Amino acid sequence: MATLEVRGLKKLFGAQTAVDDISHLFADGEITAVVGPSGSGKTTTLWMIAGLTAPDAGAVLIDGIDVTSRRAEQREIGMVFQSYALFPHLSVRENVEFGLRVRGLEKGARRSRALEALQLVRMDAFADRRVTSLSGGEQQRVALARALAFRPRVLLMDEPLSALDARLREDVRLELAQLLSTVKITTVYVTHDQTEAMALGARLLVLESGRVAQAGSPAEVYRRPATPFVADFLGAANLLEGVCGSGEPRLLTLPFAELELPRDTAPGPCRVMIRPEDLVLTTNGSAQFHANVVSSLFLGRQLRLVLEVGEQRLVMDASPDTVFYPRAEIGVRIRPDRVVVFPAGPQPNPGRMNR
Amino acid sequence: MRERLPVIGAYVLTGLLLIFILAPVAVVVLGSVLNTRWLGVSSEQWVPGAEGLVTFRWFGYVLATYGRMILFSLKLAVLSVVICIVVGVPAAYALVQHPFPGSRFVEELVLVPLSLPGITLSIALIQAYAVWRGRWWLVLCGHLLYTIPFMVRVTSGALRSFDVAELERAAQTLGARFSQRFFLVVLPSLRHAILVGSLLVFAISWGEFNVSYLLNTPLNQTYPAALYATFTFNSFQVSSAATTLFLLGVLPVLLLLQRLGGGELGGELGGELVRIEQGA
Repeated sequence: MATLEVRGLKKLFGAQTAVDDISHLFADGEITAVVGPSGSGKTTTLWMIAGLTAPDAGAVLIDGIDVTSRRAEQREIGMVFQSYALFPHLSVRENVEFGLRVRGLEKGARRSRALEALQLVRMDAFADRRVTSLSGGEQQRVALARALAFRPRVLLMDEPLSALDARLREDVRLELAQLLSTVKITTVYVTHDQTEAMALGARLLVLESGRVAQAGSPAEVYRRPATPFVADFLGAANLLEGVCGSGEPRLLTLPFAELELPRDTAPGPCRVMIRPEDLVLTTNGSAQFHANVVSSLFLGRQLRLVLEVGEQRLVMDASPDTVFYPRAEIGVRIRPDRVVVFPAGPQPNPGRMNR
Repeated sequence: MRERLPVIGAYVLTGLLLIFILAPVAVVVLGSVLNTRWLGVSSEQWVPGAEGLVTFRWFGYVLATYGRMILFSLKLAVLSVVICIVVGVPAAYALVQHPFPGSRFVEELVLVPLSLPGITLSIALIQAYAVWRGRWWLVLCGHLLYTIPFMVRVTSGALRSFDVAELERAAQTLGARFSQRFFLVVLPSLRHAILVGSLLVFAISWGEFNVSYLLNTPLNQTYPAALYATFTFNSFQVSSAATTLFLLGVLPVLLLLQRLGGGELGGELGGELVRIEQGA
């Protein structure tokens, strides 16, 4: 176990800045999910930590020791690749033994440590199989065992689930979460999938065009996103224009409703984020506004509604047992404690409410 | 029935073609073992003497007379394979995995000898290295000019067909130094391509005639060059036996190639073979 720190990491590809001044302290034994859209610099960051690509500026520190000038093979960092990159000419066992073999471990020790790692991922029964005969999920586990077998100080995972099909992914994700919690190794987990990031990461590091947009626990980042980008990226969000009052209590005026905010906000024009689950269907007199149901999508756990209030469209979640007639008018209440207010910045409206 | 007629016609045509192609081989093989005296299979002068109809004495004669040439050709073929592996494989690896400006051009340049007629190449070699004419290794150099491109092409094709770079990165994070990555990951991943390339190199070197013949000296004669001599100066039986031995030398290699190259390498190699056929 070890702490991992990156300081002011920077990487240019030609004139393009892939990673622009990323600093973060990855806590000892914790899983940090690095999440962002494609091109946000997450894989480049991972490669710089691994030593597979050299940063143009900045440093990588393990346990406070600068390892920036060390080659990948000298960093004692295990890595699971998106393609798994298992050696096709070697058996499962030989793949897992590879890291021990190049370290000159004698055969007996090599075998027992490889078996140990394979037991951890419950692949010990497959030890003598060819890796090419394994399914995607099995290959992924072997890749993990191989990365852990030589007892690295840090584990890096680059989109390890993206090569699996959607149905399998959820199972493997649960299994992986369980496994990583028993290993307790400082882990950097790169993904573009926000659900995966929140499910696996004890902390999230959200990247936007090569910079850290926000760092924090999944609940924190989901509930209190620092920017409209983070709000939008981590899940479905209604992003609205509004005006904050200066009186006491704070009044927030939206185009279609007015509500009292429990928190102090700077007065003036602002941008507002409301998650679909924070709009509540009401039938008594507590409705803050009325809207028409434009469409409804059955998602199993919930019914996702698209509402129309004047010119404004909103997404809202309702109980899957409810039935809505097209154009039905419903009463809606906003959970004020969940509303997030951003100062009106130069950021343009992303123009999408649903994802 | 009517629809099947063209199919039957095609079968018949294919059969005739096969006979046309294989008949000369059959005649030669037959001629090498039949105990005839002078004119060949059609000879009326059968000598069904004490030895009966079948004899291996022609082979004995060939081995006694041309044994040195057979050994020389074998030596050239084996050396070509070894040098192609030692030079061609690292060259292909460098060109594909560590490209530099113009590396694609260099890769194409390596293939140039393939599209040159063997006679041009031989004359160029003779004129450029006139001092060394008659040295056996100048013949080897000629063979290498033809065989290294094949090794480079087969290996670089294999390197491009799967992500060796990713495997190398994985090995690197597992703690492997460059030499360990090359010998434990890159080379084993290429073993199939190297085997196919080696067989090809062996077959090409064993059968190479143009360069061998033109750089030929009495002391450094390759077997194909000697084969030509037997047809000019020796009996039908002896040259048949010599040809049969020549085929025996290359047949196992070709059969193995057929089996191995049936996969994705087949098409690419087919193209290369067309190139060399046109060139030589």
